[in-house]
Amino acid sequence: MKMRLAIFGLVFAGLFFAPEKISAKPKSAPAPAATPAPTEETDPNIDLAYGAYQRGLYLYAFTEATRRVNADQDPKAMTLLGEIYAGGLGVALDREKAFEWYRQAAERGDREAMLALGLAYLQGRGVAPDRAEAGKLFTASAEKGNAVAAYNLALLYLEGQVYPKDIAAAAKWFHLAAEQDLPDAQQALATLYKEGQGVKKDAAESTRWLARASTLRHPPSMTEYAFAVYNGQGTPKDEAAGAKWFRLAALYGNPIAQNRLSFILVNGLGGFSKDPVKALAWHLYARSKGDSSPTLDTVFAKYPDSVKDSAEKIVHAWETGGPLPRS
Amino acid sequence: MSRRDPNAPRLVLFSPPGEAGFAASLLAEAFEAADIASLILRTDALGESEILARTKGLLPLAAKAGAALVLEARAELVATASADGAHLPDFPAQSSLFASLKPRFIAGAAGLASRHDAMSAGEMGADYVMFGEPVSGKRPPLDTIIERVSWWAEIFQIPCIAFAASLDEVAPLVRAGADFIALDEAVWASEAPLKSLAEAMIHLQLERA
Repeated sequence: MKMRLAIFGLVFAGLFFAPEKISAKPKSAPAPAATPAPTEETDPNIDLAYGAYQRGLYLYAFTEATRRVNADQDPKAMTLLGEIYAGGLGVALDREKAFEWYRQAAERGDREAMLALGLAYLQGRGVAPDRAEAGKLFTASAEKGNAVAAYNLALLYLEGQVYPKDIAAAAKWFHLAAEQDLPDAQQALATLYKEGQGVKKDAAESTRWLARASTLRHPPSMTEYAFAVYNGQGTPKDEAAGAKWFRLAALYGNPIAQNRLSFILVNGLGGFSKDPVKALAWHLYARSKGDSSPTLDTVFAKYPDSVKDSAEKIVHAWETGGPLPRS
Repeated sequence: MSRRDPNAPRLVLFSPPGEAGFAASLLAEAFEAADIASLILRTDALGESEILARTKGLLPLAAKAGAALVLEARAELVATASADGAHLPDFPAQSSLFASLKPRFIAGAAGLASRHDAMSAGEMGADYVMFGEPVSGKRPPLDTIIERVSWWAEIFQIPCIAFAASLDEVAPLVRAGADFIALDEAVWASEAPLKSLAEAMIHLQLERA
């Protein structure tokens, strides 16, 4: 039940995944200093447009993509035009025009355009919001293998508005996205495996997905993975390795991990030496971001003022970017 | 750092994760403690304005230390940010960006899956090649990285940066002939980053016979 709340929290928080850039690099990159023969698969011109787009030369990308569209109705070029309008990159931002280019590209089977169009329907950008239409487009794009579309589709299955709630279907689509290293999908899938929702309960599989998302530096997964490793859930218990993951997640700004690291430094656990000043600094830093820990508050209340002063100076440095005080 | 062996490799540091002030504070310490040739600002989790703001904050630090400040991936922001260049983690997909950087800015090539990729980067005018950094969380075994570094160091003039995932890897990579050692979590995942940096510096000085 707890998991459902967590996942539904995700849906209702509107955390559908909308990547900053939708357009995918065309598969055929020309070899350097060589002119590849144009084939159906290899289109140097769209590479030219995409390359310009990537370098921030938006007007040139726009001209080049327009030329491609006029020449042979190239769907990749249409998607690029959609993106240029959607971002107002070198042209005035125009959601209707973006929508129209995405629509034309999607009709021609471009999966990135299908995703963009689905997001437009979901968020009501350039068109009236229509979740059912968004679902159809996410499905079409996901069936062609687009990871972000698959992730969003999975959320729709969990939400149970457009489709009857179907956690198994959600798991299937999370899986497709997770296999392509989308960390949000990996974390969601890990939760489903941990709770046995929509899939057979499997702690090892859950932790395996958390590990993968953690190596991709996904902060929320890092904290969960740190707990799993530190406590030995779905993986052999390894306090030292767990403590390092807490430290890393703490660096990435996760307050829960920061308080956990504080606890580790208070007690000198997991191979870390006791360090009261750093321990208090991490705790204060976490508290300033809203993660309280009454246990730690009680511990630190007994610390001498000299420790409190030093810790506060460290936190001040962390918040302002100054050098740390000399200890 | 005045007693530095001029032939010893130098350090390249990736910026730590975390909020702007937090990261800047760690870096201020690091620059004071170690001789750092170049700082690569991680940009994957940052929006454009955040990248510009962070660069602005770090430029004086880097300048004072005589270090180059290089942006990860975002070649198009280099000039605006007054950075020294870009570190392109996805060669050859980003090879088209080389032309936009040269000759004014540093263009570094990483994500070099094969010898062929590395040589192409060299031919295109890369200012350095990097071996051994994780790509999508994965990296080749250390032996493979050592082999690649020694091959490059023996044949080519273009500097080679070896990424050390832990401090244990620094010594063998120095012995393999790396011109620079890049550190990221080997430093930042330690609760005493300065101690880790100092340890890395010692390896740099000792291992180059």
